Amino acid sequence: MNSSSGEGRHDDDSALAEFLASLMDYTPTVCLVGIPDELVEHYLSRSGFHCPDLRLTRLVAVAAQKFISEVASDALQHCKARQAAPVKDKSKQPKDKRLVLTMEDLSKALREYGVNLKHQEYFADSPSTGMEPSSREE
Amino acid sequence: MEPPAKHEEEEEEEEPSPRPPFAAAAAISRIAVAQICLTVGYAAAEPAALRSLSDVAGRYIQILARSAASIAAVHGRTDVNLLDLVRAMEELSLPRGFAGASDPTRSLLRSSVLRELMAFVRSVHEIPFPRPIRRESVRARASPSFAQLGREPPLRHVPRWLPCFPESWERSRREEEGCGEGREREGDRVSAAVKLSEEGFLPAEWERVRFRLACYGGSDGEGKKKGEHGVEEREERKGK
Repeated sequence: MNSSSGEGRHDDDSALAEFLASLMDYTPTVCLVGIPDELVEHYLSRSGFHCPDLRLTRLVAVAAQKFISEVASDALQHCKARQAAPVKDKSKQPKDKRLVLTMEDLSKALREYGVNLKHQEYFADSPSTGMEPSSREE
Repeated sequence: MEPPAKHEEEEEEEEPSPRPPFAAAAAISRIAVAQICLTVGYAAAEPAALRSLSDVAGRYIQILARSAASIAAVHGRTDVNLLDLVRAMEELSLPRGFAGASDPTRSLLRSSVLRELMAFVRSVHEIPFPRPIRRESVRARASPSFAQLGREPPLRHVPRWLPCFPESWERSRREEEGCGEGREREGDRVSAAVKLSEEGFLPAEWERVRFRLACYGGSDGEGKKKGEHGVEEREERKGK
Protein backbone atom coordinates (compact mmCIF):
# COMPACT_ATOMS: atom_id res chain seq x y z
CA MET A 1 0.00 0.00 0.00
CA ASN A 2 2.78 2.35 0.83
CA SER A 3 5.51 1.51 -1.56
CA SER A 4 3.46 2.46 -4.61
CA SER A 5 5.95 5.17 -5.32
CA GLY A 6 5.30 5.36 -9.01
CA GLU A 7 3.85 8.71 -9.89
CA GLY A 8 6.95 10.76 -10.35
CA ARG A 9 7.38 11.35 -6.63
CA HIS A 10 10.86 10.05 -6.51
CA ASP A 11 12.17 13.23 -5.01
CA ASP A 12 9.96 12.66 -1.97
CA ASP A 13 11.27 9.18 -1.52
CA SER A 14 14.84 10.20 -1.93
CA ALA A 15 14.29 12.98 0.60
CA LEU A 16 13.00 10.39 3.05
CA ALA A 17 15.92 8.11 2.38
CA GLU A 18 18.31 11.00 2.90
CA PHE A 19 16.57 11.94 6.10
CA LEU A 20 16.81 8.43 7.47
CA ALA A 21 20.44 8.25 6.50
CA SER A 22 21.08 11.56 8.20
CA LEU A 23 19.73 10.10 11.42
CA MET A 24 22.59 7.66 11.38
CA ASP A 25 25.22 10.36 11.09
CA TYR A 26 25.14 11.43 14.67
CA THR A 27 27.78 10.02 16.92
CA PRO A 28 26.25 7.11 18.73
CA THR A 29 27.62 7.40 22.22
CA VAL A 30 27.41 11.10 22.76
CA CYS A 31 23.97 11.89 21.55
CA LEU A 32 22.03 12.72 18.49
CA VAL A 33 19.79 15.64 18.98
CA GLY A 34 18.25 16.37 22.31
CA ILE A 35 17.47 12.99 23.71
CA PRO A 36 20.17 10.36 24.04
CA ASP A 37 19.83 6.96 22.45
CA GLU A 38 20.30 5.19 25.73
CA LEU A 39 17.32 6.87 27.27
CA VAL A 40 15.12 6.12 24.29
CA GLU A 41 16.25 2.53 24.25
CA HIS A 42 15.43 2.23 27.91
CA TYR A 43 11.89 3.40 27.33
CA LEU A 44 11.54 1.37 24.17
CA SER A 45 12.58 -1.81 25.88
CA ARG A 46 10.03 -1.17 28.57
CA SER A 47 7.20 -0.86 26.08
CA GLY A 48 7.73 -3.94 23.94
CA PHE A 49 9.24 -2.05 21.04
CA HIS A 50 11.55 -4.37 19.19
CA CYS A 51 13.68 -3.11 16.40
CA PRO A 52 17.33 -3.64 15.66
CA ASP A 53 17.36 -0.60 13.39
CA LEU A 54 19.03 2.31 15.11
CA ARG A 55 17.41 4.74 12.72
CA LEU A 56 13.99 4.02 14.13
CA THR A 57 15.25 4.58 17.64
CA ARG A 58 16.55 7.93 16.53
CA LEU A 59 13.32 8.69 14.78
CA VAL A 60 11.52 8.14 18.04
CA ALA A 61 14.03 10.40 19.77
CA VAL A 62 13.54 13.11 17.17
CA ALA A 63 9.77 12.82 17.41
CA ALA A 64 9.93 13.15 21.18
CA GLN A 65 12.26 16.10 20.89
CA LYS A 66 9.94 17.80 18.46
CA PHE A 67 7.01 17.24 20.77
CA ILE A 68 8.85 18.57 23.80
CA SER A 69 10.20 21.59 22.02
CA GLU A 70 6.75 22.40 20.69
CA VAL A 71 5.33 22.21 24.17
CA ALA A 72 8.18 24.27 25.53
CA SER A 73 7.85 26.95 22.91
CA ASP A 74 4.11 27.15 23.53
CA ALA A 75 4.83 27.57 27.21
CA LEU A 76 7.36 30.24 26.30
CA GLN A 77 4.69 32.15 24.42
CA HIS A 78 2.46 31.98 27.50
CA CYS A 79 5.34 33.21 29.62
CA LYS A 80 6.11 36.12 27.31
CA ALA A 81 2.48 37.06 27.11
CA ARG A 82 2.22 37.13 30.86
CA GLN A 83 5.30 39.28 31.19
CA ALA A 84 4.14 41.67 28.49
CA ALA A 85 0.72 42.11 30.06
CA PRO A 86 0.31 45.46 31.81
CA VAL A 87 0.42 45.17 35.56
CA LYS A 88 -1.86 47.45 37.51
CA ASP A 89 -0.11 47.23 40.79
CA LYS A 90 3.54 48.13 40.58
CA SER A 91 4.37 46.24 43.71
CA LYS A 92 3.10 43.07 42.11
CA GLN A 93 5.53 43.38 39.26
CA PRO A 94 7.97 40.53 39.38
CA LYS A 95 11.47 41.85 39.57
CA ASP A 96 12.86 38.90 37.72
CA LYS A 97 12.54 39.37 33.98
CA ARG A 98 14.20 36.10 33.14
CA LEU A 99 12.26 33.58 31.15
CA VAL A 100 11.54 30.80 33.58
CA LEU A 101 9.64 27.66 32.77
CA THR A 102 6.88 27.48 35.33
CA MET A 103 4.24 24.92 36.08
CA GLU A 104 1.56 27.43 35.24
CA ASP A 105 2.74 28.01 31.70
CA LEU A 106 3.55 24.38 31.23
CA SER A 107 0.12 23.18 32.24
CA LYS A 108 -1.46 25.74 29.92
CA ALA A 109 0.70 24.61 27.04
CA LEU A 110 0.17 20.93 27.73
CA ARG A 111 -3.58 21.34 27.86
CA GLU A 112 -3.56 22.03 24.13
CA TYR A 113 -1.92 18.70 23.56
CA GLY A 114 -4.47 16.81 25.56
CA VAL A 115 -2.33 16.44 28.66
CA ASN A 116 -4.01 17.51 31.85
CA LEU A 117 -1.35 18.65 34.22
CA LYS A 118 -2.72 19.57 37.58
CA HIS A 119 -0.32 20.98 40.03
CA GLN A 120 -0.86 21.47 43.69
CA GLU A 121 -1.32 25.07 44.66
CA TYR A 122 0.45 24.54 47.91
CA PHE A 123 3.09 22.17 46.80
CA ALA A 124 6.38 23.63 47.91
CA ASP A 125 8.93 23.38 45.14
CA SER A 126 11.62 24.96 47.15
CA PRO A 127 11.76 26.78 50.47
CA SER A 128 11.27 30.10 48.73
CA THR A 129 8.10 29.12 46.93
CA GLY A 130 5.68 30.34 49.53
CA MET A 131 7.35 33.71 49.89
CA GLU A 132 5.80 35.58 47.01
CA PRO A 133 2.42 34.20 46.13
CA SER A 134 1.48 37.55 44.65
CA SER A 135 3.34 37.01 41.41
CA ARG A 136 1.05 34.27 40.32
CA GLU A 137 -2.62 34.65 40.59
CA GLU A 138 -5.35 33.90 38.18
CA MET B 1 23.85 27.00 23.00
CA GLU B 2 27.28 26.04 24.15
CA PRO B 3 27.28 27.23 27.73
CA PRO B 4 24.99 24.55 29.02
CA ALA B 5 21.95 25.17 31.10
CA LYS B 6 23.68 26.64 34.10
CA HIS B 7 20.61 28.04 35.75
CA GLU B 8 18.48 25.08 35.05
CA GLU B 9 20.89 22.56 36.29
CA GLU B 10 21.68 24.54 39.34
CA GLU B 11 18.06 24.76 40.22
CA GLU B 12 17.61 21.10 39.54
CA GLU B 13 20.33 20.03 41.83
CA GLU B 14 19.37 22.27 44.68
CA GLU B 15 16.57 20.06 45.62
CA PRO B 16 16.94 16.56 46.97
CA SER B 17 14.48 14.70 44.83
CA PRO B 18 12.98 11.41 45.96
CA ARG B 19 14.61 8.51 44.16
CA PRO B 20 12.26 6.84 41.72
CA PRO B 21 13.07 3.30 40.67
CA PHE B 22 14.49 4.48 37.37
CA ALA B 23 16.44 7.34 38.78
CA ALA B 24 19.08 7.25 36.10
CA ALA B 25 16.57 7.45 33.28
CA ALA B 26 14.69 10.22 35.04
CA ALA B 27 17.84 12.22 35.62
CA ILE B 28 19.02 11.82 32.05
CA SER B 29 15.69 12.79 30.63
CA ARG B 30 15.57 15.81 32.91
CA ILE B 31 18.88 17.05 31.56
CA ALA B 32 17.83 16.36 27.99
CA VAL B 33 14.60 18.25 28.50
CA ALA B 34 16.49 21.09 30.15
CA GLN B 35 18.67 21.34 27.07
CA ILE B 36 15.65 21.42 24.83
CA CYS B 37 14.13 24.19 26.95
CA LEU B 38 17.36 26.10 26.68
CA THR B 39 17.33 25.96 22.90
CA VAL B 40 13.71 27.07 22.85
CA GLY B 41 14.73 30.22 24.68
CA TYR B 42 14.21 29.63 28.35
CA ALA B 43 16.83 30.83 30.79
CA ALA B 44 15.74 28.80 33.77
CA ALA B 45 13.11 26.40 34.91
CA GLU B 46 11.24 25.51 38.03
CA PRO B 47 12.37 22.08 39.18
CA ALA B 48 8.80 20.83 39.34
CA ALA B 49 8.04 22.03 35.84
CA LEU B 50 11.18 20.48 34.50
CA ARG B 51 10.37 17.23 36.21
CA SER B 52 6.86 17.18 34.83
CA LEU B 53 8.01 17.99 31.34
CA SER B 54 10.60 15.25 31.41
CA ASP B 55 7.98 12.89 32.72
CA VAL B 56 5.79 13.87 29.80
CA ALA B 57 8.71 13.23 27.47
CA GLY B 58 9.20 9.74 28.88
CA ARG B 59 5.52 8.99 28.60
CA TYR B 60 5.45 10.30 25.06
CA ILE B 61 8.23 7.95 24.06
CA GLN B 62 6.57 5.06 25.81
CA ILE B 63 3.17 5.69 24.30
CA LEU B 64 4.70 6.08 20.87
CA ALA B 65 6.66 2.86 21.28
CA ARG B 66 3.72 0.96 22.66
CA SER B 67 1.37 1.96 19.90
CA ALA B 68 3.99 1.26 17.23
CA ALA B 69 4.59 -2.15 18.76
CA SER B 70 0.90 -2.91 18.88
CA ILE B 71 0.45 -1.83 15.27
CA ALA B 72 3.28 -4.16 14.32
CA ALA B 73 1.68 -6.95 16.32
CA VAL B 74 -1.63 -6.40 14.56
CA HIS B 75 0.14 -6.94 11.27
CA GLY B 76 1.66 -10.14 12.55
CA ARG B 77 5.20 -8.91 13.09
CA THR B 78 7.33 -8.74 16.19
CA ASP B 79 9.70 -6.06 14.93
CA VAL B 80 8.54 -2.54 14.37
CA ASN B 81 9.23 -0.95 11.03
CA LEU B 82 9.11 2.59 9.73
CA LEU B 83 5.50 2.38 8.60
CA ASP B 84 4.31 1.29 12.03
CA LEU B 85 6.20 4.11 13.60
CA VAL B 86 4.78 6.68 11.21
CA ARG B 87 1.29 5.39 11.85
CA ALA B 88 1.87 5.62 15.58
CA MET B 89 3.15 9.18 15.23
CA GLU B 90 0.08 10.07 13.22
CA GLU B 91 -2.10 8.59 15.92
CA LEU B 92 -0.36 10.64 18.54
CA SER B 93 -0.71 13.85 16.60
CA LEU B 94 -4.42 13.33 16.00
CA PRO B 95 -5.54 15.56 18.90
CA ARG B 96 -3.99 18.55 17.19
CA GLY B 97 -4.62 17.29 13.70
CA PHE B 98 -2.26 17.15 10.75
CA ALA B 99 -2.47 17.83 7.05
CA GLY B 100 -3.99 15.02 5.07
CA ALA B 101 -5.54 13.25 8.03
CA SER B 102 -8.90 13.18 6.29
CA ASP B 103 -7.62 11.12 3.38
CA PRO B 104 -7.79 7.44 4.24
CA THR B 105 -5.79 6.41 1.19
CA ARG B 106 -2.81 8.62 1.92
CA SER B 107 0.62 7.15 1.67
CA LEU B 108 2.27 6.71 5.03
CA LEU B 109 5.72 7.48 3.74
CA ARG B 110 4.54 10.84 2.49
CA SER B 111 2.71 11.64 5.67
CA SER B 112 2.78 15.27 6.63
CA VAL B 113 3.79 14.26 10.14
CA LEU B 114 6.96 12.73 8.79
CA ARG B 115 7.56 15.72 6.60
CA GLU B 116 7.19 18.08 9.54
CA LEU B 117 9.64 15.95 11.44
CA MET B 118 12.14 16.23 8.62
CA ALA B 119 11.73 19.99 8.56
CA PHE B 120 12.23 20.06 12.31
CA VAL B 121 15.44 18.10 12.11
CA ARG B 122 16.70 20.37 9.39
CA SER B 123 15.92 23.45 11.44
CA VAL B 124 17.27 22.38 14.80
CA HIS B 125 20.89 22.34 15.73
CA GLU B 126 22.54 19.31 17.13
CA ILE B 127 22.91 19.54 20.88
CA PRO B 128 25.31 16.98 22.22
CA PHE B 129 24.43 15.52 25.57
CA PRO B 130 26.83 16.98 28.14
CA ARG B 131 28.58 13.77 28.96
CA PRO B 132 28.64 10.24 27.64
CA ILE B 133 26.29 7.82 29.29
CA ARG B 134 27.28 4.40 30.42
CA ARG B 135 25.12 2.09 28.42
CA GLU B 136 24.72 -0.54 31.10
CA SER B 137 23.32 1.96 33.52
CA VAL B 138 20.29 2.62 31.42
CA ARG B 139 19.72 -0.10 28.95
CA ALA B 140 18.26 -3.38 30.03
CA ARG B 141 19.85 -6.21 28.17
CA ALA B 142 17.44 -8.05 25.93
CA SER B 143 17.31 -11.65 26.97
CA PRO B 144 17.97 -14.20 24.21
CA SER B 145 15.21 -16.40 22.95
CA PHE B 146 14.96 -20.13 23.43
CA ALA B 147 15.92 -20.66 19.80
CA GLN B 148 19.05 -18.56 20.17
CA LEU B 149 20.18 -20.56 23.17
CA GLY B 150 19.24 -23.83 21.52
CA ARG B 151 17.03 -24.86 24.42
CA GLU B 152 13.56 -26.24 24.48
CA PRO B 153 10.99 -24.16 26.32
CA PRO B 154 9.89 -25.79 29.58
CA LEU B 155 6.22 -25.55 28.72
CA ARG B 156 4.83 -27.00 25.56
CA HIS B 157 2.65 -24.08 24.58
CA VAL B 158 5.54 -21.63 24.66
CA PRO B 159 6.95 -20.94 21.19
CA ARG B 160 10.70 -21.11 20.77
CA TRP B 161 11.14 -17.57 19.53
CA LEU B 162 10.09 -16.09 22.83
CA PRO B 163 12.78 -14.91 25.21
CA CYS B 164 13.86 -17.34 27.89
CA PHE B 165 12.18 -17.36 31.23
CA PRO B 166 14.18 -15.86 34.03
CA GLU B 167 16.46 -18.34 35.73
CA SER B 168 14.86 -17.85 39.13
CA TRP B 169 11.43 -18.61 37.78
CA GLU B 170 12.51 -21.87 36.22
CA ARG B 171 14.30 -22.88 39.37
CA SER B 172 11.30 -22.25 41.58
CA ARG B 173 9.10 -24.13 39.14
CA ARG B 174 11.35 -27.15 39.22
CA GLU B 175 11.31 -27.14 42.97
CA GLU B 176 7.56 -26.94 42.96
CA GLU B 177 7.27 -29.89 40.65
CA GLY B 178 8.57 -32.04 43.42
CA CYS B 179 10.54 -35.27 43.21
CA GLY B 180 9.04 -36.54 39.98
CA GLU B 181 12.16 -37.12 37.93
CA GLY B 182 15.00 -37.97 40.24
CA ARG B 183 18.15 -37.72 38.19
CA GLU B 184 17.28 -34.46 36.50
CA ARG B 185 16.44 -32.81 39.78
CA GLU B 186 19.76 -33.85 41.23
CA GLY B 187 21.59 -32.21 38.36
CA ASP B 188 19.50 -29.12 38.71
CA ARG B 189 20.21 -28.83 42.38
CA VAL B 190 23.92 -29.03 41.79
CA SER B 191 23.77 -26.37 39.14
CA ALA B 192 21.61 -24.22 41.39
CA ALA B 193 24.17 -24.54 44.15
CA VAL B 194 26.94 -23.59 41.78
CA LYS B 195 24.96 -20.65 40.59
CA LEU B 196 24.23 -19.53 44.13
CA SER B 197 27.86 -19.65 45.09
CA GLU B 198 28.75 -17.76 41.94
CA GLU B 199 26.29 -15.08 42.83
CA GLY B 200 27.97 -14.59 46.14
CA PHE B 201 25.55 -16.39 48.37
CA LEU B 202 26.64 -19.07 50.73
CA PRO B 203 27.45 -22.41 49.15
CA ALA B 204 24.96 -25.15 49.79
CA GLU B 205 27.16 -27.22 52.14
CA TRP B 206 27.84 -24.33 54.47
CA GLU B 207 24.72 -24.92 56.49
CA ARG B 208 25.75 -28.29 57.85
CA VAL B 209 29.18 -27.04 58.79
CA ARG B 210 27.75 -24.26 60.82
CA PHE B 211 25.45 -26.61 62.61
CA ARG B 212 28.37 -28.75 63.77
CA LEU B 213 30.27 -25.68 64.85
CA ALA B 214 27.43 -24.59 67.03
CA CYS B 215 27.52 -27.98 68.71
CA TYR B 216 31.18 -27.70 69.57
CA GLY B 217 31.22 -23.96 70.12
CA GLY B 218 29.86 -23.99 73.65
CA SER B 219 32.28 -26.51 75.08
CA ASP B 220 35.68 -25.69 73.69
CA GLY B 221 38.11 -23.03 72.48
CA GLU B 222 38.70 -21.34 69.18
CA GLY B 223 41.45 -23.66 67.98
CA LYS B 224 39.30 -26.70 68.12
CA LYS B 225 36.54 -24.94 66.32
CA LYS B 226 38.80 -24.07 63.46
CA GLY B 227 40.10 -27.58 63.25
CA GLU B 228 36.65 -29.03 63.19
CA HIS B 229 35.68 -26.61 60.57
CA GLY B 230 38.51 -27.64 58.28
CA VAL B 231 37.89 -31.33 58.76
CA GLU B 232 34.26 -30.95 58.14
CA GLU B 233 34.79 -29.09 54.94
CA ARG B 234 37.20 -31.66 53.65
CA GLU B 235 34.72 -34.37 54.39
CA GLU B 236 32.04 -32.54 52.58
CA ARG B 237 34.15 -32.19 49.49
CA LYS B 238 34.99 -35.88 49.55
CA GLY B 239 31.35 -36.75 49.88
CA LYS B 240 30.58 -34.71 46.83
